[in-house]
Amino acid sequence: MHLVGMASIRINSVKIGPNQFPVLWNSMVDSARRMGMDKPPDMYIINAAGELNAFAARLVSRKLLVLYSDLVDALLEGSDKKQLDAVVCHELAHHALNHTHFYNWFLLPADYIPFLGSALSRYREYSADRIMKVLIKDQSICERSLVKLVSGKNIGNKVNLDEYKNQVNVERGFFVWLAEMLSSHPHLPKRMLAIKNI
Amino acid sequence: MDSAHNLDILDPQRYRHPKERLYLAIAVVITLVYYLFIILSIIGGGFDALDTPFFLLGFTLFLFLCIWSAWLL
Repeated sequence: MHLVGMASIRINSVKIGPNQFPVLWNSMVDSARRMGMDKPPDMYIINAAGELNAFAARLVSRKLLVLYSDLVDALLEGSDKKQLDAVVCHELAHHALNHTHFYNWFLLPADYIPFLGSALSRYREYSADRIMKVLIKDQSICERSLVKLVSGKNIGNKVNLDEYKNQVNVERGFFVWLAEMLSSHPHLPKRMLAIKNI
Repeated sequence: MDSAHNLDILDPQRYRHPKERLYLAIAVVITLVYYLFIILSIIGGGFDALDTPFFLLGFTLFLFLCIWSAWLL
């Protein structure tokens, strides 16, 4: 099913290349090179009915990087694509750190241990964020690109980032903790704070 | 930036979160124990071995690993 799903993406999306959004392609190739990747992944933009997301995946030996079209719209600020570069760097980092490597299939039994699979996934997100920050360098661009994942383009541009990060101290309690323990991604304010000193 | 000769290239491994390494190590250990248990069960009497004390030993180990990983969280 995974193979069929990945094949479905390849035929139902726009493939980015030297002649298709070349600025975005060249930027991705440059970032991949800086991460030491010999061959850049295939990159696609797909319509996901308003969902804001991006992911890295692997189809046998082929690496894929998929961006949802509404996220691309949300991250582009006119001709400024730094926020989009940040998300692309984050997803590339998953490839560079072997998070999509086939050996992960052999680790599936560990997912049956409560909390362990999600904990590993969360710290993989932190690792990818660290590389994103190293490459992008600008904390505010990284934070703005992350906050748009939960708030979209228009609201995302107006969110008070300091106040948003302070939600870590405001939104507390057992069920908040449990929700994060069961989640594959850390809470976004925590991700922002974690890359502050990278 | 990691190399004096190639200032653009960075080593991604250097930025891997320490806790990712920890949880990956735990996942690898648990996976190996799981596969070892399955292989030994089959060698030691097929899947009938799953209702023997050997299964209880494996299940106890599984519970221990659950508690251990929860404690590490």
